[in-house]
Amino acid sequence: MKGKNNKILTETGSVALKEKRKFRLSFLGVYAILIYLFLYIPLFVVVMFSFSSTKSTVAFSSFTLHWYVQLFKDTGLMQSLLHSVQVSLIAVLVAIVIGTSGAFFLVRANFPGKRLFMTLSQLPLILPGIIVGIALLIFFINLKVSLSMFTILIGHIAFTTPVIMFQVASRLQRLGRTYEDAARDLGANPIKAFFLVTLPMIKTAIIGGGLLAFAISFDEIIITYFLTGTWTTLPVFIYGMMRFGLSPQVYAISTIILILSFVVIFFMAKFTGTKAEETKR
Amino acid sequence: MSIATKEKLKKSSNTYRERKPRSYIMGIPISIWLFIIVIIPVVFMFIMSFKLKSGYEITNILTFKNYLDFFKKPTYWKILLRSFRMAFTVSITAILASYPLAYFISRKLKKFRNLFYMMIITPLWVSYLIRIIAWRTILGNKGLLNSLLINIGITKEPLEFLLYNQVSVVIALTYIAIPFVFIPLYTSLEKIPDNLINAARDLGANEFNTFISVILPLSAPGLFTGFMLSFIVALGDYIIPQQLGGTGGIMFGNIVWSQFGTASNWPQGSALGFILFFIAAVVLALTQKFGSREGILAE
Amino acid sequence: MNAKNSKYQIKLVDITKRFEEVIAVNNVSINIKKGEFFSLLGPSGCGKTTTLRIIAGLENATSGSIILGGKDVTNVPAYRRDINTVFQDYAIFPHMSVYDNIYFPLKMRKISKKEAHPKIERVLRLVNMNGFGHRYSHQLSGGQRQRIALARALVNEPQALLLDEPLGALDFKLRVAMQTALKDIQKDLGITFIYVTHDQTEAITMSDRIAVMRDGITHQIGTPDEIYNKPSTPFVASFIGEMNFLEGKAIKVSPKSIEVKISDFKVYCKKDEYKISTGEDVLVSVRPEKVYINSAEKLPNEIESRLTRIVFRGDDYEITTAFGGFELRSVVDFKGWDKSHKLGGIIKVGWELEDAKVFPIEMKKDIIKYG
Repeated sequence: MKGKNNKILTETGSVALKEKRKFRLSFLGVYAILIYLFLYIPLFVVVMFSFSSTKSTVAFSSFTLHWYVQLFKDTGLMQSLLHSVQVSLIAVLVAIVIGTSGAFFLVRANFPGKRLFMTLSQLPLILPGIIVGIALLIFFINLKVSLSMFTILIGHIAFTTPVIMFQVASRLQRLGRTYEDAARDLGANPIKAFFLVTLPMIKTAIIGGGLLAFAISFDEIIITYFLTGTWTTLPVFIYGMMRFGLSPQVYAISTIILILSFVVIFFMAKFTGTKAEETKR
Repeated sequence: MSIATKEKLKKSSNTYRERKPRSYIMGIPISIWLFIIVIIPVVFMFIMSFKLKSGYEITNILTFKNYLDFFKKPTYWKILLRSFRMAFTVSITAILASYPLAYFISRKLKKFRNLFYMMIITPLWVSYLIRIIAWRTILGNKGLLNSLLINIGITKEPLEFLLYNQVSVVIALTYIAIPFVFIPLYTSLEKIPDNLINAARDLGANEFNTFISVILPLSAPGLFTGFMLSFIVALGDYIIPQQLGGTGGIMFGNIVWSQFGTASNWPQGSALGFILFFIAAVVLALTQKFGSREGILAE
Repeated sequence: MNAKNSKYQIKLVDITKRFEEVIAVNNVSINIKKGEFFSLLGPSGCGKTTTLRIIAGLENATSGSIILGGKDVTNVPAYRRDINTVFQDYAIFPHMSVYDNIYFPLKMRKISKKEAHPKIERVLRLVNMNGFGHRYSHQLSGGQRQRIALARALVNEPQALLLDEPLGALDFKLRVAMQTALKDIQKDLGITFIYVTHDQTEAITMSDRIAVMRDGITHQIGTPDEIYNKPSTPFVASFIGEMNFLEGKAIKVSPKSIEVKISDFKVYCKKDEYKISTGEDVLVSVRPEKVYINSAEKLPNEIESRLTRIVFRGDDYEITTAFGGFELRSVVDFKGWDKSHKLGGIIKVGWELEDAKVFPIEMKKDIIKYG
C-alpha cells in the first residue's frame, strides 16, 4: 500500500522513504568509503614501501624482501622485540589477576565513592601518556629505583589493568548474581561456585580483555619511553630509528607489527563476541 | 515454647553477625594497585612541582614559582592556548569525519556491521607510531603526496606547508582521534531503539526531522564523550608535534617533555605536567557528568 | 525438642531484614508443615522474595531465626541447607549441558556420575524432559528451561523446595498447565513447596495455606478458603478477588451483629474480631458474588440501588449499581440475569448477614487500589 510521500509499509513494519532513501544511502555510503580510505591508505603506504627496493618514498620501486631480511640480522631490533613480548605478556598476566579481582570488587561490593574509584582506575589508560610517564618517573626516582625492565613493567601494568577490569566488570554486571546464587543454593561453597560457575562464564571477557591489553601494551611508546633505561622495547627502538630518518627497515618492522596486531585484535573480537554459551536469557 | 528454647533461639540470633562479603577481600589487589600506581605517583608529582631546580640540585623548599612562571612566561601559556585551539580543531574534524560514518554503520548497515566497526577501531589499539610514520611518508617534501601532485601536474614544486607545521599535526592527530570519537558515538547511536525512529516516522517526520529531533539529541552524550576523549588525546600528545610539527607545530606536550629532556628542569616539568593533568581531570569530570555513561571502555 | 516443634518442618521466628533504611521484612513469623504447599502472596515489594531468600540462605536476616527440621539453620550458609530454589529467571548454567546442570547438585554432594545417572534420568522423566540431556540452555524454550530448573532443584530430594514466581514469564495457557503439573509433582513427591507469587488466583488454586504479605508484614496466614471468605484486613479483602467497600456509621452493636447506617439505609453485618463501638465510623465489605439482585428470598439487607453498568463476561454478568454515593458490584449468573432491566432503573440489591464484614474506618487506607 502506498501513502503520502511514497511511503511504503515494508514487511518489517518500518516505514521507508523509497526514493529519498536510495539517494541518502549512497551519499552516506560514499562518505563512509572515503573515511575508510583515509584511515587505511596511510597504513597501506607503509606496507607498500616495506617491499620497495629503494629508500625513496617518492614512488614504489621493484618488489623486494631485502628489508625484512635485514631486520632479522639486526640484533638490537630482535632483542627489543623479545623484550616487548616479555613485558606485554607479564604485564597482561598481572593485570588479569588485579583486574579480575578488581572487577568483582567493583560490581559486587558495596562501598561509597564507587564513581571516584572508577574514575581513578581509568586514569592510567585515559590520561595522556606524558602525564602517566612523568608521574611514574618521578615516583621511581623518589624511591631511588633505577630505570629497567621492572619500571617499564610497572608502567604497563598501570594501563593494562583498567582494560581488563572494565571488560570483566561489564560482563559480570551483565550476568548478574543469579547464577552464583543458584550454585550456592544447590550446594556449592563459595570457592566451588566461583571456579565451576562464575569463572567459566567470564572466561572470554578475561581472554578478550587480555588480548586487547596485550595489543595496547605491545604498541605503547610514550609511557615506556619515560621509564626506559638501557633495556628497551620495540616501539622505543623504532622511535630511535626514526630519529635518523625513515629507513625501509622501519617500514618492514611496521608492517610486521601491523599484521600481528590485526591478528591479535581479530582473535580478541572473536572472544568477546557473544557466544551462545555466554548469553544470558 | 519453653523459656529454655526461647533463650536458645535468642542466643543464636545474637551471635548472628553480618558476614562480610567475600567481595571486599577482592578489593585488596586493586586498592594496592590504585595506591601505588595512581595515588602516590600523582602526589609525588604534585610535590615535585613545588620544588625548585638550582644548578644540578633540586631544592626542598616548596614554592609556587613554577606555577607562577607558567603564567608569566608567554611561551608557556601561549602554546597551551594554541594547543587548546588545535585540540579543538582536531576534535571537531574527528566528529565531522566520524558521525556520518557511525550513523551509516549503526543505522544503515545490516550485514557485516561488526566487521566494519572493528575496521575502524582496530587502528586505535595498534600502530600509533606506525601511523605517524605513515603521515611523515605521505606529507614530506620528498613524500608521497607531493610527488603525486607534481607528477599529476597540479604543482611544480613540493608544497612546503604540508609538513612541519600545525596543519600536518592536526591531520595526524585527527587520524589518531577518529577511533576515540567513533566508539562512544557509535555505542550511543546503536542504543537508540528502532521503535523511537518508527514512532517519529509514524507521526510524520521525514528522515531529516527524525535526525534532528530524535537521533541527534539522543546521541548527544556519546558525542560529548567522544569530543572530550579526542580533546584529551590531542592536547596531551607530544610525539606527533615533534615528528610532524617542526618548529611551528609545537604543542604543550612538547614543552612539558622538554623539561625532562634537554632543559632538565623536573620541578618545572612537573608543574606543567600537573596543569595538563588538572585540565584532563576537569575534562574527564565533565565527561562523567554530561557524557554517555560508559565512556570508551564500554564492551 | 518438644513435641510442638516437630509439628512444623520449617519455622520462621521473628524474621526481620533491613536494607539500609528500608525494612523489607518486618518481624515475620511463619510455621510451615511438612509436605505443605505454602504460598507467600503479595504485591511487588511486599518482602515475599526477600523472605524466600532468607529461608534459602541466600540472604542473612538482620534478626530472627530459622528452624528447619528441628534444627536452627540461621547461621548455616545456603550451600549446606537442605533446601533448593527454583529461580525466577531459572538460572540454568549456560556453559553446562542440561545433564551437567542436573548433575551439579549431586556433584556437590560428592556423588559419582555413575550413581547419579539413574537419579538424573528419573527426574528428567518427572518433568517430561527425558532425552534433553545433551542440550544447552540457549537451545531450550522458556517453559523447557523452567522444567530443567525444577528438575535440578529436585534431584537431591531436598527437605523443601522454594519457588520464586517460577511461572511469571510464561504465557497464560502454559502457565495454567504448569500450575497443574507443579501441583501434581508436589503431591507425588510429598516435598514441602514454598511458593512466591503475586498472582492471587495462582496462590488460591495451588496452595494448602497462604501467607498474604504487604510492606514486609504478614496480614493473614490461612487456607485459601479462610483468606477468601474471612479476610482479616481490608488489604487482604481487596487484594484477593473482587470486593465491595461501603462506609457508614455503627448505630447498634450486638453480641453477634452490628447495625450500620450507610447513607439512608440500615444494614446488618457480622461481628468479627474488631472492636467496634456505637457511633464509630466503619468500613463494610461484601463480595460481589454475594450481592444478590432482586432476590426471591427475604434478605436481612436490602437496598434500592440505581443500575449504572452491565458488563457481559461470558459465563456471567458484572452488574454495577449506585446508591448514596457508593458503588456496588454484583456478579449474576448468565441465566439469572433479567435482561429487561434498563440502565438508570432502580433495582433491589441485597446480601446475607454473614457475608458482610466490618472494619474500623482507619483501615480504609489499607485497601489496595489499581489505576
